[in-house]
Amino acid sequence: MRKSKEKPYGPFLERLMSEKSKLLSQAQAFAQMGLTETAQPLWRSAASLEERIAPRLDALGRSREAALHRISAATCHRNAGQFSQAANLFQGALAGPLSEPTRADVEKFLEECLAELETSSRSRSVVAM
Amino acid sequence: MRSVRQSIERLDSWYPSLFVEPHVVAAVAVLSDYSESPANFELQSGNVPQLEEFAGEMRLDLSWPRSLETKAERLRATMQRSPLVELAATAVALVAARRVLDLGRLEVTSYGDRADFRSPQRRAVLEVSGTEVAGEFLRRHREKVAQATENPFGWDAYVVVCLFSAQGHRIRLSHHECSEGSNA
Repeated sequence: MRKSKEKPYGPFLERLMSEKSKLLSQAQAFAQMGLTETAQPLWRSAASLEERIAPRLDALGRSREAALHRISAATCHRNAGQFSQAANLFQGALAGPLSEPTRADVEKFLEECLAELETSSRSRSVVAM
Repeated sequence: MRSVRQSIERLDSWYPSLFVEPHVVAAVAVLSDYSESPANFELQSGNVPQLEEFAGEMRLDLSWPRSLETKAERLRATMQRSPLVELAATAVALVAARRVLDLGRLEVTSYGDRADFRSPQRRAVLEVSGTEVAGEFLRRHREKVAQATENPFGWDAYVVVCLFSAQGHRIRLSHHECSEGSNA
């Protein structure tokens, strides 16, 4: 049952969601097949579309969905090795109306992401020295 | 008994916003290990409103063209069995989502290590898994139900688990209300 405050997606948002689903399913399939290098640019493109989708869902009163698309964007960035963008988006998602189990998951994802970020920063400073 | 016959090649035209080619080839790779086309699945359903009138009496006959078998052979040679079976199960589940559940357009989001399918039209998520071990079939279904009823969207869930087996392929398909209720 749809809540009354929620507005329909509309054709533009549906097109964005379709494009993003195509890229994301492609990235996911390549990753499952072990083709991680091939998947990298697809993760980045999917993340960028998810970032465009989320605020449009907020504007339609679909805040829960918006937060979940931010989580999806963050996950795509993380899979592409872009940990700063991922951490920002996980933080952004936590400001949304998530269920308690989802909030706990996202806090864990954020923690893992910050640890990855720290590791990659350390290895960069070692290379720079 | 209701029998649904379907060529797996149709997936691509049903889901233009999903990349399903590897899933189709994986399904052929797994199914052609057991038999020639078509492969027969016994469909076991639970609490699925669309299937109430057929309770426990459904079959899915899935066919494929010989032309896909060469690609399938290549994929089988390059992929580990477990992810191959998961891709194959996804292909079978997408056929069921269209022909049996009528879920309409499916969207994908990424969540942690997994990709979640959802039907905006039905306000439902679709959880999928597959195995070749008969003893794991029901346990895998229970695990997926637990995961599905706590889905982050707070939507209802359909769970589809496939067993690929020389003793007979099976699909367990069920519908669940989300423990949390409607969207926040």
